[in-house]
Amino acid sequence: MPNNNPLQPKKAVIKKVFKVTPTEKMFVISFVDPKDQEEFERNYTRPARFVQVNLPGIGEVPISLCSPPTQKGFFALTIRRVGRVTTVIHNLNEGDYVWIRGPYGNGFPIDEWKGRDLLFLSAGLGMAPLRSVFLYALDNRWDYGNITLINSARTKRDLLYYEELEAIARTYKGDGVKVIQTVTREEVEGVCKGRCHLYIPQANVDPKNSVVIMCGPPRMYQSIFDEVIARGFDPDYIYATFERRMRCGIGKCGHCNVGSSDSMLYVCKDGPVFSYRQVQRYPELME
Amino acid sequence: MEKRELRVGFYPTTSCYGCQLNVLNIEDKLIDIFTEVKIVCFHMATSASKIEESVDVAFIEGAVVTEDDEELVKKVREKAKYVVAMGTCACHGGVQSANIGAGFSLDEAIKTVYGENFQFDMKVMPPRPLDKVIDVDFYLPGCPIEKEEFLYFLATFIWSTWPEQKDFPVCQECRQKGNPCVVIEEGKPCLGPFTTAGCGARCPSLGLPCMGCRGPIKEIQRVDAMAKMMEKNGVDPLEALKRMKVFGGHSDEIIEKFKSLVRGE
Ligand SMILES: Cc1cc2nc3c(=O)[nH]c(=O)nc-3n(C[C@H](O)[C@H](O)[C@H](O)COP(=O)(O)OP(=O)(O)OC[C@H]3O[C@@H](n4cnc5c(N)ncnc54)[C@H](O)[C@@H]3O)c2cc1C
Ligand code: FES
Repeated sequence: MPNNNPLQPKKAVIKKVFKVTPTEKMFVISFVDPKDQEEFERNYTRPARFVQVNLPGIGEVPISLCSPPTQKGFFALTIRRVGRVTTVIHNLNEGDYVWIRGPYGNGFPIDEWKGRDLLFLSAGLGMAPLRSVFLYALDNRWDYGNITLINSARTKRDLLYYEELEAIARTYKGDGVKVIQTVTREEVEGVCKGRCHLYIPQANVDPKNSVVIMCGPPRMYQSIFDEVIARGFDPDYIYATFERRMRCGIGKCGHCNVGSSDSMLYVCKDGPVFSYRQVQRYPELME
Repeated sequence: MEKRELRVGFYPTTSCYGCQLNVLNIEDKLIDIFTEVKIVCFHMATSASKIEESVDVAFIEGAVVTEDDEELVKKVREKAKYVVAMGTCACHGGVQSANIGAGFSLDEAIKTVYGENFQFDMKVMPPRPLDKVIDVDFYLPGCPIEKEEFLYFLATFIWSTWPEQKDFPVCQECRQKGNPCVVIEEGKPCLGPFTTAGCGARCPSLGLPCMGCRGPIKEIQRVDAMAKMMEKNGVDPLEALKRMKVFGGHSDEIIEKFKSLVRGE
């Protein structure tokens, strides 16, 4: 009997574990049943959707996909150790099983951006979902104009994918791809100093024909909105991701909703990616 | 994933020992439990128990009533990484705390139960829940505890994490079971809306009103609406709440809060 329950977690195996920073690990995972993997790949077309990672008897957490839809046969998650469930996930090794539901969420509308320049702004763990968008754009390089990525964190050790992004910058040098990595709490060699919005003027993108894609704590969004709009970026092409406590992930339980009963958004289903226009309409997203 | 050996202890203070017995009653899982964890202290199960040894998790049953109880729990706290208050006595004071509050006199209580001139060879105090004496990390309420919930707690510790505490009322589990509401259908004074879930709504599933044996919920959710619903069905919520004292003797503050919400203050 086919199982059509959208909440049914599927068994998956951890193929590889990388330590990304002292508090974050990247897990490369694939479904045990190839049919589940196929179905996942059919549904994962827009980057930065998320999955629910389920450990039976322990709990479930929503985690963004950090691998792009263009990578097949596996997917990757970068997970910060913060609490009850993520602590157990951090203790898992290659060969251990996890149960996965998803992909859920809307992801970035990357098809609507064809022909435009892309400006990525990330703070801290925000780089995890943005990695999937950035790598997707590189895999479809011909579809997009110049690309600048600004990755920020507190210290150099906390910068997600520092080496990988440096390597990408070297590979794509002269091809309109620029990577700026910056830290706020220390002065060290090899990275810039200060918050990510300080480096927007150095981006090699044309404000009139760009998309701004950001991910980080919502506190940083307002100042960036103001800054990019003042610099002439198109307000219709500004996107940010938002998080809420989630349970079902498919717009049924109401844990993640914002707005009032006559106009409601579910962050799990209508998000986690929202446009600047939506943020203006639902200011509580920024809380 | 690597698992460390988990060192666990069970320690009784003043109580009926029913929670410890319920652990031993998990017969089909006992062998698994004893192979997965090292039982350092469990007087009810083994004479090879050592109170002095350090443990990762200490399950303490009962309310603190005697001086010995107090000494024991303080000692256990020093030696334990996590302390779990096991059962409603440890969490809320339990049945022996039912009369605690304004007008309670220990001498009166002793006289009523044991008669005049009864001599104890220990010093007794008014019963207290565990967290009035030592720091408690987790609460496993129930009179007695639920086997499934105990296994869940133990499993989380085995996986080097910790349990999620239930913060929703019995009504939620009752509705999940599809039970007809005993307040609406039968006008019974059910404490489900005020009581911490976890029992699978055992009593309402049998058509009985909830007694509140798992203690009051921490977060007050929709109490005013629930109270209105009760009144509409001929149940006085204030009368119902009086029964909450049976197991929640030390929860006057929260019971008063419920009452003020019921009165619409
Ligand atoms: C759409 C979405 C995508 C996410 N992507 C990632 C990701 O790629 N990598 C990653 O490491 N984390 C991500 N998170 C956050 C992650 O879900 C939480 O860190 C996780 O649920 C914490 O679970 P826990 O049991 O370990 O912590 P808990 O013990 O439950 O809580 C520990 C701390 O985490 C906070 N927390 C709990 N649940 C959430 C939640 N759903 N969102 C935010 N904070 C929470 C609590 O307030 C508390 O301070 C994402 C969350 C959402 C909603
Ligand atoms: S998580 Fe259930 S509705 Fe969004």
